[in-house]
Amino acid sequence: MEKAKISVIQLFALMFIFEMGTALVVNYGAYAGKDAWLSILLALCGGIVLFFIYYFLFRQYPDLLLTGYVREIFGKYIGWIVALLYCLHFLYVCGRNVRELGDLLVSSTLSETPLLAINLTLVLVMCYVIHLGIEVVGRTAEVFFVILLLLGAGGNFFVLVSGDVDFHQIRPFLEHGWKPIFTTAFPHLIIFPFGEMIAFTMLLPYLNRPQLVKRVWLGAVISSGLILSWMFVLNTSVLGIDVMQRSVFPTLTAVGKVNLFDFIERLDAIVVFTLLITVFFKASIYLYAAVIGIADLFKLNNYHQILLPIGTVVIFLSLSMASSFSEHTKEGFLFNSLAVIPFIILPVLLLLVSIIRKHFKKKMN
Amino acid sequence: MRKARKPKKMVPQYEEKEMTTNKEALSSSLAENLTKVKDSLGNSGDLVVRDFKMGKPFLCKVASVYINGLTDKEILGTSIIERMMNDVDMIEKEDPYLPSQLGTYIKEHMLTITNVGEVTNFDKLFLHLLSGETIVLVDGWDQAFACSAQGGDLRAISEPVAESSVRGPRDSFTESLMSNTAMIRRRIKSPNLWLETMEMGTITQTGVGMMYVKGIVNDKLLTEIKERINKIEVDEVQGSNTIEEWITDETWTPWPTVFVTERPDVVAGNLLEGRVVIFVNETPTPLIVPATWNQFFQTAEDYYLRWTMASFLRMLRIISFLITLLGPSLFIAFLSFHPELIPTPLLINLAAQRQSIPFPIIIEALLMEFTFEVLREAGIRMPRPVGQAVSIVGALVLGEAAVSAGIVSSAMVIVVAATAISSFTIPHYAMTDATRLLRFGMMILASFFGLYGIGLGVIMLVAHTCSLRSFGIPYLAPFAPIILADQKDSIFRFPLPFLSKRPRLVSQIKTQRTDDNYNRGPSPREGGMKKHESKRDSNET
Amino acid sequence: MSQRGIPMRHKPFMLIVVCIFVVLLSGCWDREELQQLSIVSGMAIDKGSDKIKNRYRVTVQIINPSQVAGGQQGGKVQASPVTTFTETGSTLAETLRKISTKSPGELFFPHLQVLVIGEKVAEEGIEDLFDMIERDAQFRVLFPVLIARGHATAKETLEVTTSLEAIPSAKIGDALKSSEEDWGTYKSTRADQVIQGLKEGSVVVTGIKIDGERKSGNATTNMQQISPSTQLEINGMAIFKNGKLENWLEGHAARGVTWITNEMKRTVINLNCGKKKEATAIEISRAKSSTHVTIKHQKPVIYITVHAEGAVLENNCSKDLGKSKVLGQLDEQLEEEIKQEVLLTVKRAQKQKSDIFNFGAKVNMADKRIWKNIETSWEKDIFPETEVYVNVQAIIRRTGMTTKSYLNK
Repeated sequence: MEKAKISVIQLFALMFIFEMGTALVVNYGAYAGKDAWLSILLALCGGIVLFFIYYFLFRQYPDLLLTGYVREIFGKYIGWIVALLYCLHFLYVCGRNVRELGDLLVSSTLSETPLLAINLTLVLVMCYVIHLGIEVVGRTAEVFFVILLLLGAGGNFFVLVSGDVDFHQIRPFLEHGWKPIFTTAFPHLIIFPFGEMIAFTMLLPYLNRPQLVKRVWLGAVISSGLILSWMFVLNTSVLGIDVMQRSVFPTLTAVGKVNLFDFIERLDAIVVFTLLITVFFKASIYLYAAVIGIADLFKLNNYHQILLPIGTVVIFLSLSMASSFSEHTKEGFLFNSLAVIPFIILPVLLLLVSIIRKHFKKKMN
Repeated sequence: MRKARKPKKMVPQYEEKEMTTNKEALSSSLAENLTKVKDSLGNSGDLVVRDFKMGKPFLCKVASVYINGLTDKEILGTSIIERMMNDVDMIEKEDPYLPSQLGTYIKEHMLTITNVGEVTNFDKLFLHLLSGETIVLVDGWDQAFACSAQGGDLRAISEPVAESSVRGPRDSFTESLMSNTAMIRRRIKSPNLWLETMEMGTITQTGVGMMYVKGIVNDKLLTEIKERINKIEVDEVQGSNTIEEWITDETWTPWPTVFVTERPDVVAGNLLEGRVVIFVNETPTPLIVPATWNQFFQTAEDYYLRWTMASFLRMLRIISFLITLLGPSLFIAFLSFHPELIPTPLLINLAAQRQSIPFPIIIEALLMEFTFEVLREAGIRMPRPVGQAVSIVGALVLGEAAVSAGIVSSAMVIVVAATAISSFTIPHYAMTDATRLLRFGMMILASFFGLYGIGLGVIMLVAHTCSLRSFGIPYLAPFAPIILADQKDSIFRFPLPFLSKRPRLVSQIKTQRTDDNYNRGPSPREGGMKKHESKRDSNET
Repeated sequence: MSQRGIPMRHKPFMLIVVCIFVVLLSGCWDREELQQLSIVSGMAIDKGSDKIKNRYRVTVQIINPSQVAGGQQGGKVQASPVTTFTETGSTLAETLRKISTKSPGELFFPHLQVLVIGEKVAEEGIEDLFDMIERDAQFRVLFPVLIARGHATAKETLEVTTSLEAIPSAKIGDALKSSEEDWGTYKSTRADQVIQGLKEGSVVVTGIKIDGERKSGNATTNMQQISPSTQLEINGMAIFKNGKLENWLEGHAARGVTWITNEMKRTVINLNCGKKKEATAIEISRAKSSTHVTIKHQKPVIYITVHAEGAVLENNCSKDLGKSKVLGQLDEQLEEEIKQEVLLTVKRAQKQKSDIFNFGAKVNMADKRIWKNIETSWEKDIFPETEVYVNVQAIIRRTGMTTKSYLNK
């Protein structure tokens, strides 16, 4: 662990950008049909429930990272293995995010550039920023939070004003009943992105005012959930549910349609920058969590020494992860279903075990 | 491995040089002392020795030593030499003195000079002598006086060169330390305005003064600054840049972390926010620490204009900064990598212009930018009568001719010109220099990855800037960490009655300037004037 | 530190430097010089010579920028501002790549202004033409699609020069826009609307035809004449069912489409004045329409409401428009006229068994269960039998600069 502190606003900015992540641009929940926005809201509620699980665990061990208290609860050996699995899991998701950004860029604008170049440069910059410390990451997030809000407001404004929006495309509600909404919300939407917040359990000890964790986390989750739901409504209103389901990057397509006065057109750059910022921070947080976790597990002094090697691992992972985009998406589904275990079941287990242990300790005394 | 918090690395050691320090004491013999002084200075032509005799019957030999050119001869003549020579009769009334008593008598009764110091060793003697003071040596006494009869030709207070203003004061600092500190004293008539002086530079022995307002300034900041200054061991301190580069937190960054100005009102304003100013003798540009990024976009003029104009100008400067930094790179990125993002008629025009240009856009851009930097530097170095012609020739003719010859496209010339003009909007040249350098980096990134490269570049730059600290304060405060109260004076400038707090991180002690509930001026609803007792209609004047 | 080899702490730094060099030295992959791009402004698809290998004949129109922008470089030969290249092939993508044997640079599609499809291709089916447009990131789906009517091929349509606009494709796009805004009869159809329509079943696409000599359009002499011998005209709305061209809508029937899809901006409607037919011209300046579906007896009923506002533009009869009663009568006449137009269009669509207005989505919104049942047979059976009620509210606000005409009759 570093000797650093991040402020409340910085943590909020990090969480918010993290939650928005790739979900902002990528096809998110559209397989629930026109009611995906309901799915998202439901998943939001699920996310809040998940938060309380993580929060109670945090309250029990306010100074330890996830890897720390996993070992406390499950014992030295099992806990060590479980913690290592968490770190590997973070690395994998980091690689996924890097891969998605690379794919977006190659599909939309830089079509000749090899994926290696994009992923390599991205991971190098991430390593540089993480090397500067979590405080710097927090401060940078603050600056980009404002930039992201401006980009988002600008993009939304132009889309709304462009006249392509037809809110009736969302209707009829509950076209296929409640079942698709539930099956999409759980497990897919709850994991991505609300369950992914578990990465922040590695960062909570850094907050300079721990009593505000609840407010920050809930605030970030609720606001980002609402915005994601709204983005779905907006995109569907512009594109129609059909195109929405078939398109790979719906927000990009939707913003690409804006054409005001023949002058304000071709605003793709807004979406590309948005994705760059959100993916950058999301992958950075994951990378940081993994690196800190590994440093913690292997009892290293600081994480700087292993930062670059692990970054290289991420680059390699992101490239070899899937050989085509469709395979990548399929893996994503599979992963989401499996991820129920580390995101939901394990934390519940952790919580139960820790409560039981405390109970026993009290009984013994 | 650098951690984010530690402000400074250790000063590299260098071997103690063998300096001829004359720590030896003065001898009692005047002749010996005089010989020593003359020899040390190698019989320099500007060393003047005026010896005369005092006492009855011209018993005591006294000599005054001064450097021609550094001394105000009138004061020397009237206050020192005349007094010592003419008041001889006073001495005659008493018994013959011991030389030491004579010395004390001279100092306490005869010299009507404003400041007299005692000198016991040669080290001090040379310091005072070479600072322009007159040394009075008495035969038989092993001490001497240093009388401040400094004079000589100094530059008068003139208008600022780089930071002019329309409505504000027009004086700027000169090369004299005392004159500069005096300008500050005139603006802050508070006894809490303290000045600490020291000499720096083993050979130059330059006078350095540190000014701050006790009670507002943060004591930890003071100790840190003093520590860093004391670590400086150099031969020469010429210009405040020497000190700046020694005490600055981060050396491996293009951004300036120490603020430099030549206006006393700016210094006064900063002192009242809790900052410390470091004056250096023979330099008209003192340093102000700590410095944050948005300080470099503020001018003194902001506070003399109305807040609407001031806010507009500040935003204009930030936009100009962005244009300077990103202008050429965006041009390269859009034309080379993303022509699909340009509106069609514009694209056709640009494509037409580029039809016969032999270079790729990046080479063209780098060429033009480099040429412009050469022109800019040439314009500064040219002697004044020729300077005008060079700039006109360079800008117009070169640009025009290059376009007609088909070497560059007109759009490129426009972009370069716009970038250059925007860079002049940034008020402080240190920031302009940084931006000019950074834009080359951005151009290279853009030429490899287009907009993605620019995005990465911006992220790296922001992260790097966020990691900087200036004497413990994050460089990008109040943007990161966001301090809402300070936003009133960063991009915008709220009307002065609203600026009731000092920047929070700088002082940390006394952050309240005025009372928050301060009555914010007359209320328009009451007709502009406070309610009178009279029953007159507010429409009547 | 030992003097041999690189000290340990420098190693990561060297690694980074090497990585960066590898990336940078291998070159930038996506950089395209602007002058090497062939900017495509228009595309025309015609029927090829056979069914498989040469299914389509694709023509692209490439801009010559120095001729369009008013060549600064001076002294160049007066070349045509655009050039076209044609190739045949079986898929759109293959054909376009084949064109690279003829064109001087890589084809660059993001600035495509118009797509013209020949009538013969349209009759056989346009379903296969739009997948590449949707899939390839280079195609931005906002350009209008047109069907070339009559004997002219799409290629010839694309090559008609005009003096008012250097690039023919741009001229077609502009003509489409001004026609849509001022005359309102033939609304434009963007590529994304076509794609959506193809998915839903029926769609209507604007038509374009050549007036005059077909062959002589393709020369700069055409635009040097005061009255060019070849001109383009936006004419007709083509009804497509399952991707095949079925029929054309003209005149009032075509205008009805614009009314119903709520895209009417401005138009002129002629009203009878007593015995004199079509004597008064009303300019419609604002129009809004909405469609509402209710379910009666398990059957959908469509209600179309139109609100229109206008001003009198020309009055060739002696009625005094200063009287509000007269204007009121004109209002009613106008309403009736618009209603007839709308009904005409709907009847035609019903006869064609094509739901070109996508009423089906409105039925879905009204009652999704019923829609699930009738979805598959909507276009064939149910839509042609559905009752449609049209309600028009029209108000004539102003009469221009005069009230009564100078005519006495």
